[in-house]
Amino acid sequence: MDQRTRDIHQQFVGLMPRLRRFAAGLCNNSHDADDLLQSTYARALTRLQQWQDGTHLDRWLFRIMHTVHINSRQTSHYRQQCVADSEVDMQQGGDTRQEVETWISLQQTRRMIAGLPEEQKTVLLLVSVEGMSYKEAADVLELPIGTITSRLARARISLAKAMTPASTKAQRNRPLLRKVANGR
Amino acid sequence: MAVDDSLLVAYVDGELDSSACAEVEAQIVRSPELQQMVNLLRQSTAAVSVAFDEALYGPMPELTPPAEVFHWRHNLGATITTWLLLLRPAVVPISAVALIAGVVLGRLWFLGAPPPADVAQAVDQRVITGTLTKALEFNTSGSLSRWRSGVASGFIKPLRTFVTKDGRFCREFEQSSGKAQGSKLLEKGLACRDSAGGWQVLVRYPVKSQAI
Repeated sequence: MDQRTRDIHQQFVGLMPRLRRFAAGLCNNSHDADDLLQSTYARALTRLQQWQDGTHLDRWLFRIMHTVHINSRQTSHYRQQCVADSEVDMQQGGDTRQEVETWISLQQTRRMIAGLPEEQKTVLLLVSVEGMSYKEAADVLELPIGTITSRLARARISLAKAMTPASTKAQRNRPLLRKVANGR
Repeated sequence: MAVDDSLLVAYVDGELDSSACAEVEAQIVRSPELQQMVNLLRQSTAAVSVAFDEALYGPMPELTPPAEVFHWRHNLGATITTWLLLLRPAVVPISAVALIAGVVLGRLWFLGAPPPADVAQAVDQRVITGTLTKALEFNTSGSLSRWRSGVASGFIKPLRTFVTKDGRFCREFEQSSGKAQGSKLLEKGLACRDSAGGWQVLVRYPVKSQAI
């Protein structure tokens, strides 16, 4: 194993938590997410010659993971659809009311994200979960920045609408969010 | 300039240049509906940002290298084991729940909330605290985590890790913060594990302040 390969391997280990989180968002299921992480790892190691020194390793790995995920949905190599973990599989942090409520709201958030169209979900995960800039996300997905902007806006607006607390909705005669959306 | 969805979302993400940002801000100040929408976008974004953090915790899966690089396996196992020891898995889920509870429930406070400037500042602080906790928990020394909240952004970077005489894990860190238009501040600090398994910032001091 040469020094370059060793370095990249070390960096991969450092990036594992983030890659695993991206995989969890794409799959919404921890088992499939770990399969996707493994496939990404294997694919990256066998394509090291494609990695250009001096460019961003993390973006290259996120791109590989996205490609593997899209391919796995198109072929039937993996399960066609990622299936959500059952509620009982989710770790409950404790038995206090606050913790349980937090977990319930996390479950709802995950379900809403899982319900988004695939292309919107991918952009949302890169920007809002991984904290990438629009330019970085455009680089990972090899898309124009305008496409990133519009996909992200659609995803974020529909999530904001879905997460509007019922009490806020009830307080108003007209749905506030529709008013804003019509104001463009 | 009409503020459409894309523009508003880009504003919340801090992606606008200073003139576009100022125009959008001027319209937000005049429009309670836009203020409400910005708050909703920030709340939902905060919930989304932590939705998959569970994947960051606990043991990472053991990865199998492809056959052509089979002799890596031993090294990878050793690296992951070291990494897990540092993470103290028994403690992580508790701090994880506390962090998520803090961030998600904290956002509820903003409903019908005070003026936009105060809201923005309070949101910035929560984002910084959340990013700091995550960076101290997961980043290797020298690797950087960026945070962004509205027009403010910056990074947090653990510098070195050590154990005190009484066995406490401590990490020195660097933190930058600034706005697209405004001053930039670089700070250093020291945080140590507290008895609850979280991180307590013991000291934070500015090293460089630059007016733009």
